[in-house]
Amino acid sequence: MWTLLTGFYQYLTQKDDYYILIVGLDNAGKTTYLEQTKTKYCPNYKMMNPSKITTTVGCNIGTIDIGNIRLNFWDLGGQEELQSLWDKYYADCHGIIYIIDSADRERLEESWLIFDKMIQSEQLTNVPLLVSCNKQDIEQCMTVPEIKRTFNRSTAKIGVRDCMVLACSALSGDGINESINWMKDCIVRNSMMRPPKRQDIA
Amino acid sequence: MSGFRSQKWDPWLIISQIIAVQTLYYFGLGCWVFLLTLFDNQVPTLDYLFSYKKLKLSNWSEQLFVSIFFINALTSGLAIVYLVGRYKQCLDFSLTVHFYHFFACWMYNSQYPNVFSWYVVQFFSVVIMTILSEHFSKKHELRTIPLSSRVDL
Repeated sequence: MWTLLTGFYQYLTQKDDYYILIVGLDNAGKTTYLEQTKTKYCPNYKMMNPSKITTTVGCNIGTIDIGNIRLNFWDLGGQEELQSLWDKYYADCHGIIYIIDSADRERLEESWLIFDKMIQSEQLTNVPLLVSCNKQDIEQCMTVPEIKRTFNRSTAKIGVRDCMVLACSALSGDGINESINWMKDCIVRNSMMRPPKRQDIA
Repeated sequence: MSGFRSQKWDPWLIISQIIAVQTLYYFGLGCWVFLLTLFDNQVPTLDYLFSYKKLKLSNWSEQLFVSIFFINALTSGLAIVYLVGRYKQCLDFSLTVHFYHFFACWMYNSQYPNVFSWYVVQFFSVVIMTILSEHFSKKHELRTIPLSSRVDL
């Protein structure tokens, strides 16, 4: 009877699991963004020293609890060789955060090309998309309208999904709260098309 | 027993297993009581199953009667292995069986068990049932699975 009661308790208290993919070029600030999100939403989390954050090989995973849902983040490495791994995650994710380095003018076009390629994937139809212009704390960085001019060429491919462009700074933590709250609302709204993963109770 | 159990929590399976194990427990107990009363030339009544007076251990025949509970613990342990077969749940089911027996005795006698020897008997019954069922279900769960491959691994 113990297994019956504990299983029942877990069944009542289980939270919906949603998965969010954080992608972008290398050095865009994805891992810092993830660390900052964890710091803001987990009460006892100590953020890693930003200068110690190095290039991600593979994937970093983070989990936060908001209200009665659980958001899991997959922060994938952005180096060219690792970009072929991105599409393995498309079918299982519920939201995408695309990080752009606003201070890197030379690589903006490259960033747009990768973004364009990602948007065309069929496994990502109707998945909410958040474009985050990172590193706004650096002077001389590009503004959001400037970046939008480059990225507007993909508007047709974005289609009917929820899409937003936000400025943020992963080092200082500005803009992250709004981003995550918006993403959470969109994912919950989209849960008909992409339902959450239900945990199996052993 | 089915070859592969489902990974999900299945409340109806657990409830039906509890009912089945409890049924077999009382069926076994009834059989052993019937045999004992046959040898003793007495009338088998529900008193033997539930009443506290029978377990007062004041004379030899009652002390012999206690062994019935232990034998029943063995057979019920085998019933648990047959119906449940999971090492993790053996203790759980043994305790559940005795928990419901506790309530049945309470209702039959209209008072909670005030005979110390009753608790001792139930405790050892739990111990025997758990150890036996765990031993056999462990053996069953860890048996080698025969593969029909041609290559010698």
